[in-house]
Amino acid sequence: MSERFTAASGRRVVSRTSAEELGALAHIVVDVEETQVASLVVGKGRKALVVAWEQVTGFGPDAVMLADDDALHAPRDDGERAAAEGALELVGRRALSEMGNELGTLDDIVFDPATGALQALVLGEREEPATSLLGAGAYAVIVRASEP
Amino acid sequence: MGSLEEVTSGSGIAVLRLDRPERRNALDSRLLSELVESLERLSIDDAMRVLVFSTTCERALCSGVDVTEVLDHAGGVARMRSFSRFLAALEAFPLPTIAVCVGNCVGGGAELVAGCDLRIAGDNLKLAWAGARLGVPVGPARLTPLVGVARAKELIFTGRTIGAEEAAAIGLVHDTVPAADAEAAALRLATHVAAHAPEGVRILRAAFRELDGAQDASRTRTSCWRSSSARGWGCRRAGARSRPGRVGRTRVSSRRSGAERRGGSRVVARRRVGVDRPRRADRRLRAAPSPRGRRDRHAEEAMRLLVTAAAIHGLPVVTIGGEDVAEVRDVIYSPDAGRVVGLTLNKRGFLAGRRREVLPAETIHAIGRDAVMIDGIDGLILPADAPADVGAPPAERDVTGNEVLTEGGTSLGRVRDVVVLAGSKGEVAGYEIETASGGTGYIPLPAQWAVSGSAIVVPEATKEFVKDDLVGLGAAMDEFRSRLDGE
Repeated sequence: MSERFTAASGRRVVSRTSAEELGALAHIVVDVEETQVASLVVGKGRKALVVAWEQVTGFGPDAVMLADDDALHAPRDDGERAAAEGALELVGRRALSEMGNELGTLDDIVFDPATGALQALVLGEREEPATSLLGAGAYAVIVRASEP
Repeated sequence: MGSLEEVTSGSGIAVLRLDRPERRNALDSRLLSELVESLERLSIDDAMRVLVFSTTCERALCSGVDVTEVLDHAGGVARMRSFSRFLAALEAFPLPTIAVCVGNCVGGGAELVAGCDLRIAGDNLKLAWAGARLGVPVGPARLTPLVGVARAKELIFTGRTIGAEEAAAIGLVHDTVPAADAEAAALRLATHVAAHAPEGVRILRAAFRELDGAQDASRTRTSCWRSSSARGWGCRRAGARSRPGRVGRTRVSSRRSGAERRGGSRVVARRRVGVDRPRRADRRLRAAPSPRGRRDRHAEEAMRLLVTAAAIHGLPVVTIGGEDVAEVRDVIYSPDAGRVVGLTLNKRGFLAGRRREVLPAETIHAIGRDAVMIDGIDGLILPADAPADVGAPPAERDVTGNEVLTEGGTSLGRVRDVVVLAGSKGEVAGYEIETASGGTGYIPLPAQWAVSGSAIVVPEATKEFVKDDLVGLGAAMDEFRSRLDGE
């Protein structure tokens, strides 16, 4: 089972305990080292709130379910504030190979909605395994890729 | 059918015409998506020189975001993100942009106008920032650098509409013409700009981008989290270690020769772009085999493998963690070792100045076509801590301008540049030379040779391997070295 970041964007976020709609999924934050979804940024009105992946109890085709209403919280540190502003968004970022060649743009990321594990990086018409993601910084995401 | 029409000329001028006349080119989700896709694609097209934003109807360049588009909450969020991506892509676009400002240019349309570098107005211009009226925080960032804080506040807070005459009076547009002639006037301006050296124009575009504060705003945002403990950001995965290298000495001038950047003439192409256009079929057509096409593929392959030192100049130095920490100032080449032994550096950004640290070859992960990759910022070290060849390279060992003589006394030309294997840590494949006739030639690096301060002596066989382009050099390298081994 797999899901794409771009397809998941905008999906409603619902509390499992109260059934209240808490907002809409704005960004997915990635732990590059673990090739894993680390947290979600949820837009609620004009606010952007953060929820750790561990608090996500279900990532379905129609809604993202959270353990409870309190799982969402305001950004607590610089990292979370950057995430809330969308500055950690990897999709749309320049992609460079580790050999220093441009690979275009990271168009999408495929992940397992059950575990949050990243599965593949979409670079134009090609896909690279998520394990080829070497780093992600302000300038580019770095990918170990077979050169075009 | 798409909502964006793209026309590309052989002179490197692309025109994007917004094509939703029934909505005065209001930006709906699809049009935003098409704009982003076009900007991203054109931004990496080396043949491009100038981009013009225009319209298929004189009544409007763009009347803003399409508020009549029926979207649920998620769709609304997605459209806002697309709009942000569009503005970001426009801001980051590496080439000059020109807006054909005719009819309605309102809200998001005004942002498009202000986001472009140059503006030609039609005499029917109706320009207005609707941010205050709609409660949307857009406008100040792009308008203020153009007209000043006082006037920007007045235009944005009132949201009043100004015409071509007033826009010209405050310096917002550069010329006013009848609306029907606006695109032609913009193309004349584009042709003028496109006639200049493309690399210089790109550098100037980057310089203006920094001056208008867009880059600074981005850096301010990123600096907040760069030092944070955010998981997964700015970090690198284990397993990408570099190999040890060798050192040597002597610097090669890092001026840009542009020899490897030459491209064939482009055929004028006119097509529509959009989410429903037959992309695959289009690609198949363009990929149709032809002798010229095969030649181009060979050329691409050679360009993929070989890069001149001049082309390395100015490349960003990027960590495997994805941060750009410097850019290449000079390539330090050792003719004795036959390889690049290090790089001197500038800070990032035009006019940012020299960086004290140097980058020895041992700490380079790979020299690529688009970036020099390093494992981490620790690779940048002070000259005093670097090997002498890198920390204090003797200027008299510069091989640029050296005469290339064969053992039999034949002059092949003078060294113009060295050619480096892309993806290596600085392995040199050969030299770019200026031949006696004034042309450009390439010779493979010989296995044995002699170097003085003014000349390089190469094996006699070298003269059979003088090639007129990098493609030929790539093909000649192995054969040349085999020949020398045989002798």
